[in-house]
Amino acid sequence: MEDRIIKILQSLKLIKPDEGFVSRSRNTVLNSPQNTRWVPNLNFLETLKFSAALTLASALLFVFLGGLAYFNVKNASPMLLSGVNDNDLKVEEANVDFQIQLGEVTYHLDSEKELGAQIEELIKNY
Amino acid sequence: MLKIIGALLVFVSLFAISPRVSAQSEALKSALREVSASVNNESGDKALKKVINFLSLQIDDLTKSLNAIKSISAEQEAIRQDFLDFLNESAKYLDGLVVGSGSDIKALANEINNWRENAYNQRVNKITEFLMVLQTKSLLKTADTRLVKIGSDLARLRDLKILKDDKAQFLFNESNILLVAAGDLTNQAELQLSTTTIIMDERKPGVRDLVFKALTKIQQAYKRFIEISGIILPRP
Repeated sequence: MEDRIIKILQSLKLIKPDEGFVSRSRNTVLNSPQNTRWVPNLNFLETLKFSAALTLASALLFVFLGGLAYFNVKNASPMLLSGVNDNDLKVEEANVDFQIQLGEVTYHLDSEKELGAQIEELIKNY
Repeated sequence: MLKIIGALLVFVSLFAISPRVSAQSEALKSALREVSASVNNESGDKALKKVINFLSLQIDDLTKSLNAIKSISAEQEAIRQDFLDFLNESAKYLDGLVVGSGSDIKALANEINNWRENAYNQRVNKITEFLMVLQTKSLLKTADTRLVKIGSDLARLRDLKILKDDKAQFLFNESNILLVAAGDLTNQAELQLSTTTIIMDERKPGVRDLVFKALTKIQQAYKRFIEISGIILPRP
């Protein structure tokens, strides 16, 4: 009994697949989809959009973190401060001072007595 | 170096704005000095001619000053024309005086002095007061415009959260008060111009005093404007 089983097992070692089956299986395995590595597929326009978005986000972040402190008076346009920035301010002040100190019009009042005294002197001499 | 250039520009600008004023003042002062020098050192006719020359220069100066005033009311225009007519008549009177080596110097000198005391001096006083008030009004108008501009600057800086110092605002408020006071004084002076009564209440300040006080207030306001400018603008 045991001899018979041993002979059957030894005959199983001689079993080979059909040549046609072998060929079909090989082709099936070789033609199946292969696993490839991932590569980004961004074109130029997409890159530009991404850069713009990044720049805007950075600017907003700068503003929110107090970046407006850069825009102080030192960088303000002179046209924004025409009241204090105008050179005419000093000229106007000098004009007022001139009116007070020299008083061109008031000279006419002051000269009245002086001229009167001179005429009196002239009358006295003749 | 920049301060020197700035000061020079202010100095030149001052004369660019009012060259006639300064030159005329010097011409009048020079003419009066010549009268003083001539009375005791030259002949009577020459001294009298120097007196007439001074009066002619004075009339010419007042005429130009009156014609230079802009933007006045219809009533003030009528007053100005009346003054111009008087000055024109006075110039004709002086041109008609004949002074020579044989002239009666004493009589002529007496005539001119009487004319001055009875007619000329009083009208010249009125003309000078008129000019003082209107010129001060013009300066005040310029100062008010400057005040508005500075106020606008301060508001703009506050909106931008740049101006944090309260001192600039304090100075601005002070200058506003000063100009309001100057305006009130100028109005009082202007009211006195239309006063026809000869006898004035000596306790009340005259036109000259009121104008001087108004100009002083305007000057103080400008000092504050300059101080505000120094606070706001960065130093070089």
